[in-house]
Amino acid sequence: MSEVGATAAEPPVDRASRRLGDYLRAHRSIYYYALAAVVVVLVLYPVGVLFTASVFSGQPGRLGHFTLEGYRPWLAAYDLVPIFINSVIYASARLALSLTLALLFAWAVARTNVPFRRTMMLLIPVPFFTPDLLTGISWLMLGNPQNGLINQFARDWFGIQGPVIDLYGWTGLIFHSTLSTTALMFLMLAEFFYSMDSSFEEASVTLGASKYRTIFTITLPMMSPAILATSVLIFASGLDSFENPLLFGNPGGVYVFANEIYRMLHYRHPPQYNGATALSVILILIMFSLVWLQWKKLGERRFTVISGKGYRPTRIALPGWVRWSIFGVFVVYFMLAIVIPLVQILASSFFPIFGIYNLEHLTLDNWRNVFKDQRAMNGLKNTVLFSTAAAAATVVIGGLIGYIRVRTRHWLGRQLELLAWLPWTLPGIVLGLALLWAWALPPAPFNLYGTATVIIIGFIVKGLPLGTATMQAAVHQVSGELEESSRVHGGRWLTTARLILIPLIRRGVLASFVIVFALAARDLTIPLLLYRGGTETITVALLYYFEEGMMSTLSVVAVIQLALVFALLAIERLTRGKEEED
Amino acid sequence: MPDVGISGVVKRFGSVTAVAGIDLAVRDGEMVTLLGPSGCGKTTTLRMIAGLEEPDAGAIRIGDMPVYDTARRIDVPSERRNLGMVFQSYAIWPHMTVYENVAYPLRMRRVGRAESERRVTTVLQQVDLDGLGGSPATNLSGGQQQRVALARALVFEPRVLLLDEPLSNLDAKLREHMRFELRIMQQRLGVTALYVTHDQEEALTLSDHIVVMNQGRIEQIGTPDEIYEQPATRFVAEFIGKANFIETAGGAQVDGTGATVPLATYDGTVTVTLDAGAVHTGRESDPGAAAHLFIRPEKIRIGPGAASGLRDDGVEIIPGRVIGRAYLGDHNEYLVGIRDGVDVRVPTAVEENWQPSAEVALHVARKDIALYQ
Ligand SMILES: Nc1ncnc2c1ncn2[C@@H]1O[C@H](COP(=O)(O)OP(=O)(O)OP(=O)(O)O)[C@@H](O)[C@H]1O
Ligand SMILES: [Mg+2]
Repeated sequence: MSEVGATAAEPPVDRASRRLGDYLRAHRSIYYYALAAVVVVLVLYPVGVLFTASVFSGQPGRLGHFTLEGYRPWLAAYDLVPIFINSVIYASARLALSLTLALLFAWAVARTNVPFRRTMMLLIPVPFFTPDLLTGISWLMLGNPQNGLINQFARDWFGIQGPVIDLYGWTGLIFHSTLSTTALMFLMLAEFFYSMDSSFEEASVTLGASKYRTIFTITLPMMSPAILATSVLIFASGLDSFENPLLFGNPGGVYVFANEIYRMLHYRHPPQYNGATALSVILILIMFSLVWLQWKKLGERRFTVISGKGYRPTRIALPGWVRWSIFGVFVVYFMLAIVIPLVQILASSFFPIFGIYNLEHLTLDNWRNVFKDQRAMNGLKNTVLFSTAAAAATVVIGGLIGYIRVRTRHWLGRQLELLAWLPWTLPGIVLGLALLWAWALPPAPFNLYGTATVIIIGFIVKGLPLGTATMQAAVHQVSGELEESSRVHGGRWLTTARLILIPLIRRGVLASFVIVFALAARDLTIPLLLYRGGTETITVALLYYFEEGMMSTLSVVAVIQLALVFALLAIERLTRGKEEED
Repeated sequence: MPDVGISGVVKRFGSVTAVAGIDLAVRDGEMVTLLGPSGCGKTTTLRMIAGLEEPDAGAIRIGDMPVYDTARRIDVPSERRNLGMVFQSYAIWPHMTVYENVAYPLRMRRVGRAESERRVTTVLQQVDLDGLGGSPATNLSGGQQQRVALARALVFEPRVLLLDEPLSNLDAKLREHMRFELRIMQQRLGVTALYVTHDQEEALTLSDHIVVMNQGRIEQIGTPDEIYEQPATRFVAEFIGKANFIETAGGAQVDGTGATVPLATYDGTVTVTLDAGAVHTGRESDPGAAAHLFIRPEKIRIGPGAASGLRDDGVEIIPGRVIGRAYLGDHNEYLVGIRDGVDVRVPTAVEENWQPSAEVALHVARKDIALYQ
């Protein structure tokens, strides 16, 4: 027998906690089931209620009686067909354009010697983080056919009468949604291009194929499963987009699923809950079968968000004019997506009347007024509060799901992962409607109708797919032995998580937090359907100002929100940059 | 009293049985090696002792403390088994300094600051890392990382030290050096150690006892020379060291007192008689299977002439023909045929010179021949 004192040298644990601890450890899956219960309540419960409600006559808070009335107009096809066709055209056009741009950028940044790669890498994703509502409104201020600044300018200076640019309808819809979608696709694809083994390309070039043939014969085919998977996800999310159809589609009379659902709720009296709910169910079914088909066909493929890891693939040396043309495309993209709308909105925040930018009228009044504006201040506060809460919660939930999936062999891991992906097939407007039904239904303490909690829940559900994917990738990158080594040497589970795992994945945690925060802060649909007096977010306030034509106030609020987003991105980048140096 | 006891331990992963029921007793202060080919269940065994993998059946005891027992529903968590472990990847925490890494087990045991500092300093000296405490753990070379892992596993004077191929990531020179250091340190500290490796040389030089595993089972437990000189099964004989297996012509007669084995050669049949101790009937042997004589190459000497039979001094003489020679610098290796398609390898001094196809006599002491069926 060894001399070493058997009990004295053991890590101390008190009796009671040891007994409870032993029980829980022996039944560790209790934790997994508890987590699964939370996720089911968050994700599945609202969808279930939505399906149920679609065959009832009532409205949130009161189911009413059973009826198939809601489905009648859609199944009779006379209303569904144009909306369906519009939606498919919209989603396809958006996908085609953004895929082309995103592929060009991802390939150029990851595999070629295009100039200013690091800057491009940094800036291309930015439009994903700036709210579409905001840049969209800014573009409408520039390009609406009546008093858009560009049209005014053409009229006043060149005497051109008709509008030179008209962003209402299809043009604006596709143009503007392409910009932020390109950013998202780039985020999803860049990693694949970085991690692709360049030896295949080198082999091809060695065998005499030209660089450009190599792109089409080797690079793209190798990427094709990733590209296809990403495309399906993006196509599906094209059916999701609400802000763009609302801003550009409505005035041009272009109706797709999202704004049609909103129209039935908001512009009809009384609101057609019945029909809107039925249409939502149809939309869910379409999106779900799309994603399901792709998974069946290709096997699922998760994507990871760029981790900034230093792969060093060999780069293709492009001739000068090609390099600079690509860079030129990037500059145009970035000008259109960020710089022009930003400058416009910044300018209009310093003038009393929108569109009359005479230096004599330069003023800080708008800014002063906004700080007195109850709606704006409250909206800002709520957005920060709700987004922070949702991001924190999502990081925890996503982290736990990722942990169970990566570290244990429990069957729930896979189910939880799938469940976390499910909201991707839920368009924001549908999710909003589902939550509205779901949380207006239960009795008193659980009736969250109109509370901040229900909006936060909505943001969590919205952020769950990307938040979980990021956390899962982060856990995956840490070798399990690092945790096991802590366990063996005396660290309990929580201690190990606190001292080993969390410090090692802090970058993933931060990235996940920023993504979910940005998703929440830019979201309009969820709070729009769920807010009551006092819980409106800044996006709801922005829409209000827009509809009331209060452009000066709107501009100031927009600038503040953009500043917020950029500050967050800067913090994330700086932390990352510092890490990469050590 | 054995310090680690394993009985009837089974572990399955889905349809794969990684460990198929093993019994093992490790004595206090001993260094015991688990040796076997890749995938034979060494790591799984070690991880079950550490509490990182839950057995499907069986019992594990450390000292007098049962840490796992299916029947009694005991499963002490890893962190309370009080073991030190060196992982194959070292599992050095990259966000901590060397000092913080090594002090971690003490921190978990709430050892006071002064005491902790004293112990860490001492153990860092023991592994020749004094002065490196403040540097980030990621700045170290492979050998240094390995020593940090060792220091971390030893700093709290655990009752048992587990090592999973700790040397496999090092280059050959460093590996040899660290092998001796490890052994010396283990003996000095008197810690019971279980060491996993698939490198037989490592096992032979390091261990008090070797446990040879194959396909989730234990083939043999013994001291290094027992394992080398008297392999219990054909698998062990083949796995450890070099081996000549000579297929007998069939008709070997085995009884309680030994065996009589007819061996066909170019010059007629030689009959080899063996003691009972040299006859091994394997677990998976079936009566129809051919029996093989086993002789270590270095136990054979080549002599002139074509004599055959047992000499009075207990040396078997088997006739053969030289097939070829390989020059290996410090020695030669001859390939000698016994009959068509059956040959043995024999190392000789460089000076010895035998012409190809020369008729020679192979001299083997009778005690160096064994039979595996
Ligand atoms: N986590 C696991 N899941 C499924 N199968 C596993 C797992 N761990 C081990 N196995 C299987 O169990 C068997 C034994 O594995 P183990 O790692 O114990 O082998 P080993 O003797 O350590 O081999 P090596 O020398 O290659 O490290 C192998 O067939 C392996 O594939
Ligand atoms: Mg192993």
